Amino acid sequence: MDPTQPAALTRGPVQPSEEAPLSSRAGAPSGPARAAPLGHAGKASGAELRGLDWLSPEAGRAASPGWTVAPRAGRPGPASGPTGTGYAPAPPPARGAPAKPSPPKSPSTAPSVAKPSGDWAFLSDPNTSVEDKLFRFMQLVQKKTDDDLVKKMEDYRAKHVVGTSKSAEGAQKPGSSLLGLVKTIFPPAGLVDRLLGGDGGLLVQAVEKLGGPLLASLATAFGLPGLAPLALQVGGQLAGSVAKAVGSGADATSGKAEKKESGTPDERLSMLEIQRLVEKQNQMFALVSNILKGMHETGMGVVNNIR
Amino acid sequence: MPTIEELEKGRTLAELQGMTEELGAVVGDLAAAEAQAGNLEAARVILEGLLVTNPREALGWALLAQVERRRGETATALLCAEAAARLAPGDAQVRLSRAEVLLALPGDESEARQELRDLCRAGGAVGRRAETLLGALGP
Repeated sequence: MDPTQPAALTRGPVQPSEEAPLSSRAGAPSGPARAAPLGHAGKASGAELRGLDWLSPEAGRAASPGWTVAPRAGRPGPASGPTGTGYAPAPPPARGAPAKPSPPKSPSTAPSVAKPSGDWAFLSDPNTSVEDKLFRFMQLVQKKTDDDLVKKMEDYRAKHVVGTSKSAEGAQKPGSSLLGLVKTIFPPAGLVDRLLGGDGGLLVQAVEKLGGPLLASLATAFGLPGLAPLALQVGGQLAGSVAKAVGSGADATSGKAEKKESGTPDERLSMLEIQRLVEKQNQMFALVSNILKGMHETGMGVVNNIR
Repeated sequence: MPTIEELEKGRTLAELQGMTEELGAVVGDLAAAEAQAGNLEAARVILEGLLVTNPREALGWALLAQVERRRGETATALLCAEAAARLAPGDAQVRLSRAEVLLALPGDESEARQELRDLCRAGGAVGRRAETLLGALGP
């Protein structure tokens, strides 16, 4: 690949002809989502641009030397488990009717996926691009989350003031039982034995990097959603505790036993745990929003150049 | 906002918020583009957010395994690859992603080689990648 080719695609005056290779990338699905790196072209270093070989005129003729999982192409069938893919069902396409604004619904009300209406009508709008849908979806979710959070905080304050809330049961004490939790989550893959090796160093590394929210997601992915809240609770403290647990040779225990030890989380703690999940999601939304903004600016640059 | 009880029942944020598979795929594709551009940290943040939103997104786990492997976090990559393999054991992209992780682990090369040999018959980009890797590994 000639590294000077993509370098010409820096932010600013973008030549219309340089957009052409985007749609001719070998093996890539068409669609604006593939243009995401364009939004970062202005700040991309030479090393980063090496991954953008498909922007060169040779794209479409030569296969990309690297390979990356393509989530949009060749999606697998429904995941194993009772609830399928984990996404909301796609709404039936509207018949060209533009989305109409409607009064806000109750924050706790899940959107009607069978016949989307109101705030969610844009999801079935055939005239809206998927990027626009994503952007509006993120806006809506963040707004509803913020509203929920304010409401929950007000509820909690009211309860706290009148003294009816249960006291927090204190910080979790992961102790040696945490290894049992990890073993409970991961035995389907036989991962613990593989990762523990001698001193458990690899496992500690892994859980350190994962953190609570992603560990909870892992539990769900392994078909143990019941352990997700527990993983969420202890995830942050897991790494150090696992190291201790490995040292003390703790045995695996069942998930239910773990749950008993951790105690029933009160409402406030539950809210904080959920909030950690949502924060992680918001991080993603913020980043995706920036990328979409970059794509939009790049597209507008092209339009302005044509003018 | 979801509740702990809903999460315990296996409901995902995506289901509760109304996020469709199409939107999830677009987010995953953005992460893939970032990873391909070398922005591994950005890709990781996006993928973690996506997987918190829907832990059953097999290709998201596979892509995160790739990203973690490229970041040098092999153990984390293995956890992610195994999660993907559990969700979609027959998917070629998932299998290739897992094989790539196994190649980086001591003692797992033979399993990875066998997987790559099987994937050579898959054709497409996955098959080509498997062939390339096998060729690079030598006999």
